[in-house]
Amino acid sequence: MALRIQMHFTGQLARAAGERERVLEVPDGSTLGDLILALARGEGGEFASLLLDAGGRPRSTTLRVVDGQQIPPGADGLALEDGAEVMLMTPIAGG
Amino acid sequence: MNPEDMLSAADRAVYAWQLDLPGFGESAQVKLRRSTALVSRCGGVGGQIALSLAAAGIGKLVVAHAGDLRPDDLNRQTLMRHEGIGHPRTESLAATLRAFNPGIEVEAVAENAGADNAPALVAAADIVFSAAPLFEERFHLNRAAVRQGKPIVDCAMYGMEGQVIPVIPGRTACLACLYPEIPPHWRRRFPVLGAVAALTGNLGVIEGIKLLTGLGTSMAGRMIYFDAAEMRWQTIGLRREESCAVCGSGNGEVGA
Ligand SMILES: [Zn+2]
Repeated sequence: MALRIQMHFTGQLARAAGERERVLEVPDGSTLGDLILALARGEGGEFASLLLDAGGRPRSTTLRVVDGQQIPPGADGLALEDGAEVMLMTPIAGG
Repeated sequence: MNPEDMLSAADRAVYAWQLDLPGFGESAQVKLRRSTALVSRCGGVGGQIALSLAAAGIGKLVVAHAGDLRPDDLNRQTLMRHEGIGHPRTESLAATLRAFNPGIEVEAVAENAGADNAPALVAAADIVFSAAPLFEERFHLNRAAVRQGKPIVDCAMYGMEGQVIPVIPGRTACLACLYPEIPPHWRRRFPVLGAVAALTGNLGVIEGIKLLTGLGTSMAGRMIYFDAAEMRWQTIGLRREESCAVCGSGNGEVGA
């Protein structure tokens, strides 16, 4: 069984993806961290470099939001539920 | 009643329509008059913050912004004037603010926030509005404001998007809770529609006035996010990080 996740991208990440929304299917039992890795691997390029550090680990500075609640980077082990809305936000500082 | 606690006839004349706001009234207006706000940078976001605070009757504005005005500032920095190109930005903005509201005090500081001046800039203020185009400056202000227990409203934009994070130190997530290190991909040059920058600044002022006066419901502990391209608006619950290097156990200060 797969989980259907409604993705939202903002900031530089949306620009690199060329879209702000996408429905993604990930295997049952996937965590938030798995989702970020799967997205980065699937997309590659600038999108992946925004999400992953040089060692291929999810960056701590990407804001993760699941169903309207920010999830700290230390909680990437969070198990995703079918139908979850996940928003990944690159930090912005335009003033 | 102490005259300090009352509005003058001139104040009542200027702020009459604001005094009609439900839940606001004279006591809130007096609170604003007694407050000093620091605005870090007077660009598209910070300029609007300064102007809207001046309009609302903040007692004193301290505006920090270094450098001379450039032609490519003028799509968004609405406190400036075309003839000010090549002259310090602080000159243009202070003149505009003083002409707009001579009833408030305006102090223009021709510096950007850094490790050395952030503590003193914050110490002189009751509330901090952070709107610099670099995370380094925002982090210095966040650290100084958290240390001094001053509320901070972080306002940022990118293209058609904007976000506002009101912070009550020790109670709600600070900027370092969200970004444990300087985000490596942010660049000084970013796309800007001036109206989006102004909108972001005004959202910040609304939240700041709430914190100063108790008007409405504060969004401290949440991020206000909008994408003006799709007119998508939402607030996001933020979590305070217990090990935060600034407001949590990671700051190395006993009892923090
Ligand atoms: Zn913090």
